[in-house]
Amino acid sequence: MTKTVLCHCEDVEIDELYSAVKQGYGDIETLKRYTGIGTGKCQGKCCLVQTLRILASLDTPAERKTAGGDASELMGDPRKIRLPTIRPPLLPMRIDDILEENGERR
Amino acid sequence: MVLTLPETGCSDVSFGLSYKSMISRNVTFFFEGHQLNGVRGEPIAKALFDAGIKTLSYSVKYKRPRGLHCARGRCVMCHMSVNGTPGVPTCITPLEEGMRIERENYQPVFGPFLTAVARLLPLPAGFYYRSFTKPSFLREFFVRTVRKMAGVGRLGTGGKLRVDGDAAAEEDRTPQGGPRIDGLYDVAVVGGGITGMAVAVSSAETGAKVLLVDEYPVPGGHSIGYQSNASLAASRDRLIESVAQHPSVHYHPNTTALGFYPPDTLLLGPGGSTGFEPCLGPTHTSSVTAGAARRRAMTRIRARSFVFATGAYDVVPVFENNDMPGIFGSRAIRLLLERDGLRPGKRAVVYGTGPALGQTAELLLHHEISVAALIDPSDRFHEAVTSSKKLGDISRISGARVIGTKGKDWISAVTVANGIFRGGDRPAETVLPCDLFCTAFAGQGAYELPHQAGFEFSLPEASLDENRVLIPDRTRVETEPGSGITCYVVGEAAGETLWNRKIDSGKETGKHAARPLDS
Repeated sequence: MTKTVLCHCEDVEIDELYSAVKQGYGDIETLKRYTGIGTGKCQGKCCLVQTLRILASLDTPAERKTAGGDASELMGDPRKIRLPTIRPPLLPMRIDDILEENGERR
Repeated sequence: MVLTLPETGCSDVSFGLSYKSMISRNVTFFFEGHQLNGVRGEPIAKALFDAGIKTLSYSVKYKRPRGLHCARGRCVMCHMSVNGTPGVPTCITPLEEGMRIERENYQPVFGPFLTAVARLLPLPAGFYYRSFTKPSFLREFFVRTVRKMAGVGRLGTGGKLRVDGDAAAEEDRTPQGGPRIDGLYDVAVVGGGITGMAVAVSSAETGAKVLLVDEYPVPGGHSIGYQSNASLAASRDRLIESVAQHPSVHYHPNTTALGFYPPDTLLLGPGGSTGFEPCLGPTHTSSVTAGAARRRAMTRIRARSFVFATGAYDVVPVFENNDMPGIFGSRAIRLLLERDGLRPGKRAVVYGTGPALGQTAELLLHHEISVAALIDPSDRFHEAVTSSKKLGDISRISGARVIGTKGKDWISAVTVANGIFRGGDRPAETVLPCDLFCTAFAGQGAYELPHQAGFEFSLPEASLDENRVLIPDRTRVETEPGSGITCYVVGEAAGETLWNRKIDSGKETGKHAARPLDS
């Protein structure tokens, strides 16, 4: 089966991104929640840049929202990009490692 | 209760050890019940590859085959269940005697059927929380079925995991008075690559107490993938030597920075691999550290300055079947060939631009992999490619883009569009057979820690879309106004690609970071 997969962890196809943008999801945070892009195990290390590139190339009002956070910010610096919130841990962790701190089981 | 970061520099590593010999350390291990042979200490994924197992996992939704990809524990495509522990990155986890290795998201009995169904169904975005929501009993059944089909592995506790639900334990989990502080440094450097080491050494030379953490058991970062570059290897070894000898550099391998909490706290955890013993190819001659113990505990440290020398990821462009096993970025292919001694194919197509295209192709030739074609989406090849004698008779296509790949479980061909064959016809679409596809475009600097520390990013226009990456808007921020705590981004994380400049900018940043803000 031929597919163009944007997010490899969650199997999100590029068409799903386009259709989500068409439906009005233009902000990277809502796109992430709606499509699942960047919510997999790699947390966007493989797909975030491509998603932002595509959004930047779509000259839509939705894209403008993404690019600047809000339109007025965009006026200041058109290149500024809002990244989604990045939460620790930055890599997948074992639960028993998280339970342990400073050599002590919690 | 007490912290495990030792106060004496480098006490948990021994410098100057050469990699142990790979000879006569054959072990047996089990892959889904079959007994296989491998070499102790080599990455599990290499042992599997040598045994002919290239599909390491299946994607969650469509059950597409996934194989080795980033070779450094980032992309999670090689995650497998090892001795009952789920989600082990097999590309960087060393093989040991008697290991039981299983693919996670695949059911041997219903697997083929479910796979066929899942590959055919059009499953729209968010289908798993939008379909069959009513009535509620159907919803419950649906959710259970979807979870089973996705099958991302079972949590193997192995009797080690203890989760206490009682009130006392809950209380213990939220200590009063804020986080315990485990270490205080003048400068904390994240990333033990060429740049990070240069930062650490130059900071330490000014008298600062420096923490250098690196996720991997050996320092050097991506320079490990440049064994054939003698001058780079020499610079790296000099830096390793300086790190080892400087008493105020506290170097901790196998330690991952998991998050930054402004204004001044860094969370550290275990590194990506468990007691890695790298098996470098025969070209490796330098002395590096090896065999440091895996850090188990989470640790918090504070510092006055933080330097993020976190390097960059490969970015593989988006095209049809871009998730096919056999597609590697330029960093990944270097690590596989030069660090692991793994030849993932015999006939390669290289897709990229600038000098990196030529360097990647030359590396493949050096490892006796034939290069079928060089493809550059820009109008002309870089001088380094056109003038290279080694690349003389390889067919070149410029101004063309790879629009798709073909293959079943491994790449078998790439499709190129709008190609202009040098001196030949002008086919609209060309299919090039190959069993290895390498890309060589700009890497994306690791943006996570800098972003948490307050750096903003922009996506500047580039002449090629494939080279467009997020760049931090500054190289230095104060984490909170007036706090005096500064963070720096340096090296490839800040977009620097030339090795010499990485070392120079690392040294410069190290001096700045060690200096109190007011002087």
